[in-house]
Amino acid sequence: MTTELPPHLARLRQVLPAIVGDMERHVPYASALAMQSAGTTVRVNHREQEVSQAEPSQGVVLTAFNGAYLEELALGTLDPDQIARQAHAFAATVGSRVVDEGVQIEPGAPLTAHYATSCQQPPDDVPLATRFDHCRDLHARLAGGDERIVNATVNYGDRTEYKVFANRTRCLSQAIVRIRLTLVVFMAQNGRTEYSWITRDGTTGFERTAVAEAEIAELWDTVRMLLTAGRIEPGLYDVVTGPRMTGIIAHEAFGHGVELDMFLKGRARSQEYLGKPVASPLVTMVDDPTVPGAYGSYFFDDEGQLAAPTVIIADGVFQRGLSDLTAATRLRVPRSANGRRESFARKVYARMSNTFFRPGDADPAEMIRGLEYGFYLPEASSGMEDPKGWGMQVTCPYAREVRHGEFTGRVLAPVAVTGYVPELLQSVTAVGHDLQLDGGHCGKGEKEFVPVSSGGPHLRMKARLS
Amino acid sequence: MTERDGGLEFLEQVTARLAQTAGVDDWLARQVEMTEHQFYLIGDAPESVRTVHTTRLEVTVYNDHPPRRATGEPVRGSAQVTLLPADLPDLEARLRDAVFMASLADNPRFSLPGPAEMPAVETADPALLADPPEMSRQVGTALRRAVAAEPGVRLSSAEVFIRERRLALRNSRGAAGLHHGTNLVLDLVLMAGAGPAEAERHIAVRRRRRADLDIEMLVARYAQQARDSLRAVLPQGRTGPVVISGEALRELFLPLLLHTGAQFHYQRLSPLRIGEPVFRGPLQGEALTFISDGRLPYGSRTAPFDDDGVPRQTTVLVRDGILQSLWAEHRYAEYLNIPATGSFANVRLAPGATPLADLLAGDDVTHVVSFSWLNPDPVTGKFSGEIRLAYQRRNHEWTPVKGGAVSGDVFAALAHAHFSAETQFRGDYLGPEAIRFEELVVAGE
Repeated sequence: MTTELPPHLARLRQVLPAIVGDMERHVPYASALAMQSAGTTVRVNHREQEVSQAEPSQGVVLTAFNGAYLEELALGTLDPDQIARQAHAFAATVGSRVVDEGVQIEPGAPLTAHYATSCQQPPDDVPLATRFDHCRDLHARLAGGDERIVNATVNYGDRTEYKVFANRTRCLSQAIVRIRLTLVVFMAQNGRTEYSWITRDGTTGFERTAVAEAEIAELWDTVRMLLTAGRIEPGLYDVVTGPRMTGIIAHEAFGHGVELDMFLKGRARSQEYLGKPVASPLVTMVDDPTVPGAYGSYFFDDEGQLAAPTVIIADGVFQRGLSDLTAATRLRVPRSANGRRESFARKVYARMSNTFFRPGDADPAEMIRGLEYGFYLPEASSGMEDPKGWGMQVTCPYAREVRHGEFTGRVLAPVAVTGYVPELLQSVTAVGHDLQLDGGHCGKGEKEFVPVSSGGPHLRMKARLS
Repeated sequence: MTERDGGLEFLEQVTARLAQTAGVDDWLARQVEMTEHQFYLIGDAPESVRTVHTTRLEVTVYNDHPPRRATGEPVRGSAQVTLLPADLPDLEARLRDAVFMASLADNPRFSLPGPAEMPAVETADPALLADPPEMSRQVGTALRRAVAAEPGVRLSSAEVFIRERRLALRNSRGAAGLHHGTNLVLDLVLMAGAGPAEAERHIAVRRRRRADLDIEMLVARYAQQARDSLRAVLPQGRTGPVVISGEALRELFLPLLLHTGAQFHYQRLSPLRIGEPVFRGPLQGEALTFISDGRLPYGSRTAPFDDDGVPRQTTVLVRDGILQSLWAEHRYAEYLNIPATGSFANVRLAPGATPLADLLAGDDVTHVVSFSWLNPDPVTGKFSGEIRLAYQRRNHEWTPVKGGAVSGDVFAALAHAHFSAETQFRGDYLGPEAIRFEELVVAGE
């Protein structure tokens, strides 16, 4: 059963509180996070097939506060005796250099609980051969739509992640299933190769991997359009963004800049805008790890803080940022459940979960019909944050030209959206009544990848395209 | 493998079992031990200190079987599993699962590399290994001292990682090898100015040895760029020469790296052909020479062998703009009937004939030293990157600019490029310090 802890972790859950208690004989605060994750990957394309175990992760990280900062020992084992021995020696070493700088770490209200995501079809309950055959069938459906298709790829992955957190007041555990499916079609014509993709993801079960014929036909149409796409004339345009593009703006343009470790480092321009307008009054943006089924969801963060939504921007005004334990303690602000680490081997940072703009009341189709001249940006392929300069870069695989409210059939590719973040957000003139979240893996800079999702409704705004 | 961690017992136990497991027609096993010391600074004060120890065994099993949905010659499937020491009691079941996974996949058969003499390469730095925690503190101290010497600049944050990795490889055909490597990773953010006028420079470098990291020079260069960012304005939009230097160059070559690989050709994703130009259009500048160098002393991707056990080598992929050969992992080399070179290693580019100063000549040139993220499309080669810091000549003086974007197509741009005579080493890149592309689009005012 994917909802229960595996035996190694279940045994460890019994003894971790005592191990933390022993550590706190030497240091003013200690905690432990044990984690184990495993899953399956399937890859099928025109010329290759592969079924493998997703790279597993298994280990424990022991955290000890020395009065000034956190010291950690990460071990690739779940053996209780070994962990107890190493924890004792580690805490004794850290304890020998404890200082009193008047900083207290709040362990949280007492709580013992276990949580698990709910799935209609837990992937482990679906025979591996069935999962593989599903991918082969999807590949066969993808491959037949156009004689210009030179390759088509189906990438499937499921992963179940178990975590146990203990400090002096809390003993928490969670089991989270994550599913991700990506379909890619490549077409070639006159020495030019183009491609596009669709994805499915979530903290859900295998049921999430169903793909309708219409979506595959739309994918073929997109690649056909790209084979004749031109480059855009750089300039400032009226645009309507689709939910995926909206989400990348939320995540890259604003989200990274409100991760509060950036405040500690003096790296966030948003620090100067607390309580001030940063966007159109139509804009409300949240980070919410509790969204059922979303790819970035969890029940508690890697420092034992229970998940809850954080309103970052309300009606255009910047409200608060996202914190890990260190940032909240040093900045003396309330914690949010955003202390996350890539694995036990990596440090915790303040990280987003599911970050999105809340829907408004506009009809997305009407928003496009309202463009006299501009572009529709349905997709985003990548983005990069610039919390200090508040510059933004989001790459869209293509833009569709709109004139007098109608698509002209002209497609430009690829298109970069650049500019000054507040200028972009203040230019929002309509917010759609739709909402869609899409998952992926987010790095801090160029490392520290964690599962997240981002999204929102359609937005109408002015953007600098090139 | 190491006296400290109990040697190769884990590897030997697993490989002995692999040899006896039904359905394992071939196998590959890599034991990886890693120890890392991590030191984090915010400003002048430590934020965190961490020590990490891990051991894992990466196993690939190969199973030959009749095709599942057709008739014909036997096919081969492979599956990877990662084993941890705690998995030993369940080893039989884990390997059985791996065989089942491998039995599902139908691929044309291929073999594994056999025994070979592995080259001696330089990848481990005794200076980093002597006392890693102390070394990380020394690097932190040197960093703070270098920043203190720079007017108008402060250290926002820094991360210093010292990593030791030991790898032992064996396969069922007799390939075997050991590799010991070190890495020093420095990630830092410099801040210039104060209040609303602040500007930052983020730098991430990775070197195998301490001697290859000149902290004073690094800080001096990026501190100047941080100060320049304070007075940077929007670039003037134009189509014309753009000189790209520094860290952005490595990323620019990602599409070429993939298009010169056998797997990309086997997947029918590359239009490039051996003996033909890699650039699009008539050659109007200097021709590129592009090498995968697996033996570059202290290169980040230098090793005695690749992940399959193919000895690392130096392979000229593109000479004078013409595709000479493909880098090829053992499997794809067999599929395409070409020599196996192993996976891609370090990027090495032949320097050009033009001094950097001459590349920067002309009133219409834009010199980009940093992009937000230069992320060319791996298949099409098209790119559009936001300018984090560049310089444009205005009234005969260099003016710092930021915002806007540079866009183009890597394969088209290489037809009209000039390479600097000066070279730079950046861990996994040895080549020109800068490249001038004569016709790229700068979006700005």
